[in-house]
Amino acid sequence: MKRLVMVLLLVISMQTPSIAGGRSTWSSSKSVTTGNWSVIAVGVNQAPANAPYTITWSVNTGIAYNFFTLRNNGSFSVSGLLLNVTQVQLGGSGKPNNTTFELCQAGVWNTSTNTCSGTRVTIGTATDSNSSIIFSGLNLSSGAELSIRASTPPNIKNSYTTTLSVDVSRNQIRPGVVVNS
Amino acid sequence: MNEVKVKRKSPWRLVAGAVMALSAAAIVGQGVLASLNATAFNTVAENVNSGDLKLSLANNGVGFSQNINNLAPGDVVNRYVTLKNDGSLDGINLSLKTTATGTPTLLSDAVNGSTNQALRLTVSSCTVAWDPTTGTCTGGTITQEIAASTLSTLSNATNLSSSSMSSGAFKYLKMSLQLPDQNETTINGTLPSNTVQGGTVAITYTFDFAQRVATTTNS
Repeated sequence: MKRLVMVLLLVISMQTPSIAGGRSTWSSSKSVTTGNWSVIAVGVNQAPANAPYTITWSVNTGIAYNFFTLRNNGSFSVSGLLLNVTQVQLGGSGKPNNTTFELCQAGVWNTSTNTCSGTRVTIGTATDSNSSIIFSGLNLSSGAELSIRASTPPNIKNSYTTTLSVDVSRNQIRPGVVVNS
Repeated sequence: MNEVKVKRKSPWRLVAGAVMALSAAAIVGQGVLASLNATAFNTVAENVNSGDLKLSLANNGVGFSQNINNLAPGDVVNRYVTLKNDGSLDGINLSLKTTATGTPTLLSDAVNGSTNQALRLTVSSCTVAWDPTTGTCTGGTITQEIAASTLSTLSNATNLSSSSMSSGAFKYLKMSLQLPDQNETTINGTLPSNTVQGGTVAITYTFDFAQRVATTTNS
């Protein structure tokens, strides 16, 4: 009962006219929230984290693969993003291999069968120690993911890391709108 | 030696005696000294009523009944409310004060030194009711009542440009809240420092007016 009375008093105090000393006032309270834009790279079977995603390659023979998703962790749909790729040689004097990134469009990479349930689209190759891959024309809604496969060239023995950093800028979400209501 | 005792009369006996004498004189004198008196009065009582001052607010459309969510830079949300002077007295100095708490970058530009970062409120009026779905003031005249101001600026009561409201008058207001367009880049899900993203502000709008200036009337 006490709680009910307190809630009622709170509601009344939130929106009440008052008259005192030759003045009259009216108050009303509301909240405003802003959205956010954010995409993160998340490895298969890894917990999402607000951090770069690092792949450690140790290639002896054949082609090595790594699967990850680009997850829209924000509250707006995202039309594009910038994937910054940094590759670092692990030991030796060579340089990191080229790494190719393929999107499984409208589908998901199956990590067991190494197949794409949608359409496989090559989105770029990191050829230097620092590369950038631009994604555009996306319509990645809040909470949605892009399924990506990274792969090394065949039969080049090498050990290196590939670190992915995802940038989303303001112009990769919708423009401002005017709402009347 | 003989002792002589002087018996003094109590002063209270003298006072009591004087009072009794005066009372007797008054009773006897009434019959002798009656005077004439005349009285005039209004046969119908004069009523004096004090006026009252009442400001009421009604939502026109959504008005202040709903929160505003998920604003993006460049967004403008127009909400419509109608003030009415519901009292018998004319009102003057109509003002708006906002009490806002929450994310500092949304309250004031001073947080990161930007000149156009925080939320801005613009108040306009129309001489007729706004259409809240289209935002039009058909057949009326629009007046900017309060220029675009941050919520921290409006923490001081600010008079509307047309701040008088006669008894029974309406004021049709458009409350236009804007998040200025601005660039921010989020890297790996980490929001930039002093960001406007993911913020929350609770705003209390308080309209206030005073009674008209007191007058002296001869009639």
